[in-house]
Amino acid sequence: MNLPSGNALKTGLDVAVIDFFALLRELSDRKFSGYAAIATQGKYGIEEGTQVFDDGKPVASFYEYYAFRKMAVGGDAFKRVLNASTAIKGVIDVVELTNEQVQLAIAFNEAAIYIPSAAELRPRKIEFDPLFEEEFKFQSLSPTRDELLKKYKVSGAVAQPSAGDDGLPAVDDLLERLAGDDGE
Amino acid sequence: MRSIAVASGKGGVGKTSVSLNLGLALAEKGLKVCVVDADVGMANLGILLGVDRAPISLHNVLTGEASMRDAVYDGPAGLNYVPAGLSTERIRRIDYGRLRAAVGELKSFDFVIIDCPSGLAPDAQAGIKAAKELLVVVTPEPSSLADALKVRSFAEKNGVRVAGFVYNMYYADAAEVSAKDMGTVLEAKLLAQSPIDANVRRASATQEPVFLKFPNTTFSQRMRVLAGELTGEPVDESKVKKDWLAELVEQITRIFRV
Repeated sequence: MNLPSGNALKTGLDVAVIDFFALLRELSDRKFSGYAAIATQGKYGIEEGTQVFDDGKPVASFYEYYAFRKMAVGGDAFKRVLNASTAIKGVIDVVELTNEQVQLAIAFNEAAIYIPSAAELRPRKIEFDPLFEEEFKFQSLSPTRDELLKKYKVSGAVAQPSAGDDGLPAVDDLLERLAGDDGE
Repeated sequence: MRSIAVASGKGGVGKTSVSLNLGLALAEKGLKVCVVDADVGMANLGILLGVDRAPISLHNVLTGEASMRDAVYDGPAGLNYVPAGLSTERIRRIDYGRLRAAVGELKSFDFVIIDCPSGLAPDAQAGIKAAKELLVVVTPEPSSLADALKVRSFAEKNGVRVAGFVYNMYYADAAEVSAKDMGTVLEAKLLAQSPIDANVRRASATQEPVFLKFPNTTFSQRMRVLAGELTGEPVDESKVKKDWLAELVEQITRIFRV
């Protein structure tokens, strides 16, 4: 996920030590705009979650699995960010952006917009769940049709063909293929 | 009568080989089969059968000079076929609108296999629209996939049911589009797959159908599988007598696939 470099507020916070809900509360009190990037070592590779804030409110979430080259966005990403905050190994960086930069970032990533409910933001003990990663591993083994259309760059071929339909067919196309033929 | 158009979009993927040898595999099951060469511009079915010229061909039918029944010939091993003419005369007078009705005249057959031209020009469109079902032949390349998508889309738009696809001429190379990916993108059932089989070319060079010249080669066996899928009698491949050398090459290729 590409975001502006911004102004690093905190770097290298150890997820094993930090209280993520306390961090969320701190950023809310500061009316913080920017993002918290959380990088962890998963079973299959590096994972990185990005939680975007606007005036202290969480507004958009991304979560990327580099091993599978797949990304979750929105509410699905938010729960993975919370999960990653309970990992044994990982670091959090907090980067400040202007409000305009935040607005621009979420404008280009509308699918990632997600505003957690008060219940989701309530401090509680979360147990790390390895199944989040397994779920994406499984998904990566069975790409969707859209993913394959993009992979093979054939998305344009699913549009309706422009060549003819129910009218009486003509031979002109065939004659072009037989260029040089004298016909009758 | 089941009418199946064999089409691909892309040329050179093995439509005519599949059409002809599928016809023979169906005929081997005791079915009455007619293969129609609907590629009036680049007729190849007769060439694969070793037929030089036929007095009446699909050309004559589509110009209104003859009925379809007059253009049906006895082929090898109980197969019947309708050749397209090799000559480029009369092409200007061809009315593709006649093809659907002409195929309808073949209702005494159990299966009519329509070997369609490549592309989606009016001749190919007529071939697809003349059938009730479509069998797509693909090779493991993105270009074949793209063209097959267009053909599939056209068939659906014209009420032709997509029966499935044949994954042809593969090397089991990691760089190829896999049969699984093909099926996902085409949203169609894989009915049969055949690796590159040198015996297909050898048979073509001698102008004999590979199904008859090399009945146990991999391609011929896969045509039996295809016939089984189309008739609702799936073949247990473990019980099929195989070309052991071709099978060995295929297995080694799969093992060392990256």
